[in-house]
Amino acid sequence: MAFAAELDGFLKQCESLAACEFATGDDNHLGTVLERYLRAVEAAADTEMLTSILLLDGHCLRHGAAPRLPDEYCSAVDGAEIGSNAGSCGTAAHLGRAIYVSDIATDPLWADWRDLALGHGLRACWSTPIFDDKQTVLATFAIYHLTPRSPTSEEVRAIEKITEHVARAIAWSKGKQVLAADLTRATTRSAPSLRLVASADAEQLSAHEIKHEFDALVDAIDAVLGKLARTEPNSFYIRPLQQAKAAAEKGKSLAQRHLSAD
Amino acid sequence: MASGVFNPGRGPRPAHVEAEMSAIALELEALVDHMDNEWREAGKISTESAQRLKDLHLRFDALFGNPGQSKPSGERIR
Repeated sequence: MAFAAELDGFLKQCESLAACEFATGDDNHLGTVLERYLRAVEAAADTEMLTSILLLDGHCLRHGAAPRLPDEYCSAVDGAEIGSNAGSCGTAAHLGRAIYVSDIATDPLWADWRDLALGHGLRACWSTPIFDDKQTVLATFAIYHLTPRSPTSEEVRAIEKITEHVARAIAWSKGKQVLAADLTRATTRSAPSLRLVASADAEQLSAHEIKHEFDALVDAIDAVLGKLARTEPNSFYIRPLQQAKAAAEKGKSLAQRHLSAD
Repeated sequence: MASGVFNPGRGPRPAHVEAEMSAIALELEALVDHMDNEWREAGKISTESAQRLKDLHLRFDALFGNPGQSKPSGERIR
């Protein structure tokens, strides 16, 4: 197994975060989102590998993310034209199909890029195009190895899964019209698997119990806010914490109102 | 991926903490609005909504580490 069982969980966590980040309106951090995916993939890999995402811009590939590839290599590849003989990624983007080069040293597709890659110790590159829902190539996802290697069937399946997730993240960064539905799916998928209440168990919960839950949440948020006020009064977490506290207090008031009405 | 509990004032501040906290806040706002509708339309809160509230609290605890603030895993809300 080249990828540990954690890959699924890592990808879902990345997707949930990406969906929420794009929903909050900051469109300028696609690189950060993509890098988080790649770090998750590298962390879940049982073998040493380096990953990259290149974004297709017209007939050129632009740097998207590559957390562990050398900067010099990334700079050289940034802006490379796609074509039928343009390394693994340039060829994959051009042909719209996966290109798995198991030995860069001998493969003719790498003729123009061989010295650069070998100079950085890269020996194998498996690249897969990432498509939007109209089957237009958006980007390429590549896995590099430092020794000649071909992917196993398990690795190919993992790559397909990874590219599906990355495609959604890129699509979200390009347009928010599909985000609402995807966000719901992402957060549903990422919810803790331990279910405390069976959905079929449709018994009515009392306003008292709901109020108790909101009370506990407000107390928990207050405890963190108090700690931050003492240690990090300018913390980035204060704003979302205050936002969450306001929502929890609103919920608490709702429950209280229904308690009074009962 | 980073794991474990973020302890305010100590150690690194991973970017995912801010993103996850923002996500929890957004989801909590949406949930409260949804509960408001449930109360007005059905006169009660569904078990699914109660579970979502519990899940959000668990996610918050996982992020900032407030053991004991929420009910132990596996305990039913009723």
